[in-house]
Amino acid sequence: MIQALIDYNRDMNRVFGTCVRIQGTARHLGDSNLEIELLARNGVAEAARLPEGKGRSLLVLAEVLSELPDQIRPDVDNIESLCERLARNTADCSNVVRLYYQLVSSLLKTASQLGEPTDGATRRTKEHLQSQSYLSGGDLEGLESFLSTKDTIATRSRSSSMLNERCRENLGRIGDRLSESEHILCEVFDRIRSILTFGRTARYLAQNIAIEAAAIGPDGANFTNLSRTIHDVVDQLEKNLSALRQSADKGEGLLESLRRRVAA
Amino acid sequence: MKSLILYENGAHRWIVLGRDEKKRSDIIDTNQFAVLTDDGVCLLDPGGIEIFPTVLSELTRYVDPEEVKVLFSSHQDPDIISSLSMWLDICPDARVYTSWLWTGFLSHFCMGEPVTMEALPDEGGRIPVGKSAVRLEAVPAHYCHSSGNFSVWDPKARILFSGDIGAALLPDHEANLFVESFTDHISTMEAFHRRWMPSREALHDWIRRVRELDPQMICPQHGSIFRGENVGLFLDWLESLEVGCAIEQTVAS
Repeated sequence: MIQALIDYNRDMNRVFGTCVRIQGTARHLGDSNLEIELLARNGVAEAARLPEGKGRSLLVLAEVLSELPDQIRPDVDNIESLCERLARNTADCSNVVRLYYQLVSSLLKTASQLGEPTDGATRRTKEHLQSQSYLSGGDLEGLESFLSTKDTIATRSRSSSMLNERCRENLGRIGDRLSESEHILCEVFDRIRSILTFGRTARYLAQNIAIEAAAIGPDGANFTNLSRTIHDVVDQLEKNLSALRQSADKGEGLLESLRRRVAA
Repeated sequence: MKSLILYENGAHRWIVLGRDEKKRSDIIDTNQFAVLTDDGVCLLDPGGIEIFPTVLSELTRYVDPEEVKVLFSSHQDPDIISSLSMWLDICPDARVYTSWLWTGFLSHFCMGEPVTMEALPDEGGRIPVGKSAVRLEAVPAHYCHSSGNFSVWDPKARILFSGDIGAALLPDHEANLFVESFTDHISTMEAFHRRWMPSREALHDWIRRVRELDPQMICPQHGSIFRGENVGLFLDWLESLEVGCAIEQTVAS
């Protein structure tokens, strides 16, 4: 019965799982950010020790690099808080779907008891009502119309109208939560793009550091290592961002599909 | 799901909702009770989340669900009260009564808004239903089986809701709402009580209290209802039963 709603809630729980994965990955981004900051500070200290003239360009590059993490930190922190909001919103939406499912089930139980068993038209209507997805207001209207015309018990008929109204409210709440979730996910994508730009800048600076280090001969050995390590950290950062993007894409796909089903 | 009026005196009514022949076989069968008054309804152990739609649909035969003003939970088990959030969504002003031991636990069954619960002290107390003159009293039944447990007594209707005390695990085809042959009924209760009731002393304390009340009906949350002479037969049988002693059987199996 109302399998569509059960599937719907399963997908909603998957969105929740995706949020948790994004949050986990976002924490790794923070670690990479801190690592780059520490490496850049070491670079600044090393460059300051080099003889005047030789270390000047390296000092400037290391200083620029050391400022990058501060600029990007709000984005990294923001992803975590956005995911927290997204997870809360999704969990809330899942609760509403659960409640909605139970209320629709109750109305369908009542509908199943109405009408003469020998009346073919009523039986067909009941079968039709049982087969609907109840992800749209139209399905609810059909159910309400059947209950109001067939139910002869006054209290139950009144209660059914009230429950139907509750269902409509809950359907509206589900739609609102989904829109909000999509909006939050858009913000997550914006942050991912910012952090990607940061990664590319860090890699570019690391390349320049390597070039400058090569130009100053044996004194630049530490900087060659620094450049290599920064490349490794940015590789890891990009790997995490790619995982994060994949999770966010999946979440977006699920949300889109959920919204399409509610709007259908 | 079957439903039946157990008692009726004007607006004061007791309704049992249970023995659901269409329920899923993996879910334990439960009885829900509704006490209707001229100023609201009290639901006694409103049931688990899985049976909520059926209970709600059946209840609407008798009453507008928004009239539910009290939700009573004899203890903390999911078959008793995991539907709590659903009921509170329909009747958000309903007051939830349970042992002080379980208020923080029952909140785990809620979603969204925090719920204020009426914590019953160990000695029990009155459960008002709106401004109605109907008096419901929480009777201590601790350790029968839960460590914070209450029965509910209605002195006017002379009905005692006993929760898990008197519970029977009936086969699916057994459709009776009332115990017909007490002797035959024993086999459906015995193993349950031996295993689930941990303390003979606690059970005897409850039996003493109930004998003083002298109920005409004892309504458990599982199985059939005791009425007439079966009330006395049940109390006598329970008094003679060795409980909290199923551990040897468990270990042996």
